[in-house]
Amino acid sequence: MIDEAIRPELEQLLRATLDEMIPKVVAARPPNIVTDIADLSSASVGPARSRHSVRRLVVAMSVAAAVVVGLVGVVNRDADQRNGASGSTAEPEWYRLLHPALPEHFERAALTLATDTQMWFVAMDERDGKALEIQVGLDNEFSSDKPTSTDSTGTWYAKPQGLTVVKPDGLQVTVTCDIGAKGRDFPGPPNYCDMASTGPFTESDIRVVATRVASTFDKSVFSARLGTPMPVTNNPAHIATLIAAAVPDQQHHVGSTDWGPGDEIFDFSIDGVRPDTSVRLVEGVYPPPTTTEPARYGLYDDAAAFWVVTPGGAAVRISTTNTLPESLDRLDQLAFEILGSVAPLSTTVFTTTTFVSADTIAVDDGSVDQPTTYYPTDSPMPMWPDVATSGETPIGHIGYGMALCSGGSWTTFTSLASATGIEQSYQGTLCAFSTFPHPIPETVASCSSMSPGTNYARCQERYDTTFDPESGQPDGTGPPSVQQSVAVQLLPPTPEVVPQVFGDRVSALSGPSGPAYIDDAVSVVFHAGDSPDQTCFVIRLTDLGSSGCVDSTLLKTGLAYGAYEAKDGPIEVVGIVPDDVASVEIVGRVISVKNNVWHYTGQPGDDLSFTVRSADGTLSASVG
Amino acid sequence: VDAESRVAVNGAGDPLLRRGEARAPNQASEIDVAALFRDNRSRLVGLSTAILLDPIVAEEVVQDAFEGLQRNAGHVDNPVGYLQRTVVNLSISTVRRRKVVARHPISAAPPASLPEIDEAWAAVVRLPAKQRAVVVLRFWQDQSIDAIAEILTCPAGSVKSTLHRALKQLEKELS
Repeated sequence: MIDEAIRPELEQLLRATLDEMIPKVVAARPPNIVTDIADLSSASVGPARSRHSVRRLVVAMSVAAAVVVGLVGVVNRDADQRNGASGSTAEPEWYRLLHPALPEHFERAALTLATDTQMWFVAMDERDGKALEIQVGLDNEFSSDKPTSTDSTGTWYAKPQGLTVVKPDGLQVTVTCDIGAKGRDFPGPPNYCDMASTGPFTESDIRVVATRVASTFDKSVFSARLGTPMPVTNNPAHIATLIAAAVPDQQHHVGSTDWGPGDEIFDFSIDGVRPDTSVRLVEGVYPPPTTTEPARYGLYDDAAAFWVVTPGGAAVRISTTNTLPESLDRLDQLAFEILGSVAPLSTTVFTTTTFVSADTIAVDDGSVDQPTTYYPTDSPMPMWPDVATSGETPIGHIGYGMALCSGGSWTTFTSLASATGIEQSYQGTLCAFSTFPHPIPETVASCSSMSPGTNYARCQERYDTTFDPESGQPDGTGPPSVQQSVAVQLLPPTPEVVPQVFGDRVSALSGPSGPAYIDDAVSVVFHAGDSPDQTCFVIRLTDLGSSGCVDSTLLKTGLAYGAYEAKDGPIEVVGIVPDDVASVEIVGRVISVKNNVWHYTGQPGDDLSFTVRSADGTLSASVG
Repeated sequence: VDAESRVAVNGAGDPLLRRGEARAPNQASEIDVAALFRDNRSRLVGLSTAILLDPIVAEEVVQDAFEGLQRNAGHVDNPVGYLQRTVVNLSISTVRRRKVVARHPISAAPPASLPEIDEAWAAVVRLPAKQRAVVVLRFWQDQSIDAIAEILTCPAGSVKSTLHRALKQLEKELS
């Protein structure tokens, strides 16, 4: 047989390559493409794991033994990855300073507090939910305590879960390690970091970190203004509402603790009388991952914890001493709901119009489609085959899935088959907005589609007016009101056939870290993409948002935009344009572009067609 | 807009389905599509991704395959084989179609654990879609030549020659 002629080395390399890379490429899909909440707890793709592990090990060993230079290359590349090479956001100054002190597996960190005398950081181990709290300050709270030791770094003091060292210049560095579990307050929580199954983080490890921080930080950091914490954008009440909805039988109400503008902690009890579970929300994590990885629980003696971090730099840690499987499942889902509400990562028009082929662009005739189906917001929209097995409409089922539409995140359309037998396959997602400021039971999400062939869909939030006030649940028996249907009308897609009349330079991309654009309703942060022709963004509105990338072909049209609407309006239109676009005309108004961003607040029913123009007016392009 | 099509779509009914409340599989078929989906989806997405190099579209291809299975349930004797065949063929045809229509950029591959694997994956990516499909079926799914021939609905000799060309190319690039 021909394939038996393959060299054993090549076959081994090939098998190891496929074993390693296929799951990685599958996992590299954007977080908005999570198709089933069950996927979030299952990373298995492909054949049996054990066989793959053996293959990888064999190849790794043979390569390491045979090629010394290759091994050096591996070490260097690992170092690059620790440096955040995989992330594309500009490295913040505070991280540049802190990074050398961070131990392995704690490479992601966030600045949670920055004042004239205090800088607090949290570094996260996504393998098992551990967190290193690193606090640098000028207040020597230990001046009257008995030190445990003194060395060239400074005077050391013991601290629960960690150590403090006070340098000779008065700078105090405190490093602690914990998982944040509640419910073991008396006689005091155990040192979970010591018992981490993935590798204990001991007092000597903490001492190393504290020593490194002490060596790189001095008093000048407070005047240097190395950065500001990324504010947690959701209001605590909203997060508390999400928690209450996820754990409806909780006996202890949610309490919020503000650890700084970039850090919010919520404690509650799943089924006890004392808080047993803690949710920590952190923003501004650097380096952000390229994809949102499934939650990986660290299981401890009587507790469990995990971190989930999004490419937008938001992180949630959940830790609990209620380790019943059903509790962990609920908490797993809760983490993603919270992250979805912080920065719904729905793919927007920015990234999806590129899927529309030139010869099959859907024509928007301005008519209003009735929504095709309605789903409650308190559960993810079903994926295939659930929708296909309804039995009510043998072929006329609406065969698309929309995972977690209620949270506005991870929205994906798959395909749709009509009763006429005409298959309509979506080549991507064109759900510009779909989220709810509050988990209102009567709210439903609806999506409509038009035209056969390569298609696009539009999502909208609806109210199901038929909800049962007694049960607080929608009964789903009727369509939304006429007025609500009208609001389905949205912006048209940006067709690919629009001439690329502008350049693709986005100066704001290389500007200082932090928002390039911010006003009362919108903030936009840019970061570089995986390829040079991508401009990536994180757009945040009060209760909505998205992240994604604009490629240069779309950017050059000047017509990259996203539209967002909570409930029935207003509609926030946010555009990202290259340097040579100076102004935008929309609804009869001319809006200036600031740092490659424009923003307009429209009302449902407005004709939101717009035209972008260069400064001298010689170049322009229009949508609508 | 195709009015007829749109009316048909919109007139398809408004079933309210909640997660966990999926009804029983279509009684017209004895195939448990839900179980098949649960057991095979991940593997099929991996297979399609390896051919398409695009996990998003791969997910859609797999969805389409299940949709097809549901439609043709009464005529399918080997559902798993049907799914594999559909996924592979849809993936290959999607790659071909992409060459004609505007295509979105494929994301850069995630970094591998070893440079050698990076290089090997890059070489695999450069293979034509059908060759890549054969390589993946043979060395990732451990399918026999005959099984691959069945999946691709082509003679075993064609599979052998396709595999031979693919391996020759890989050998050349990686030597």
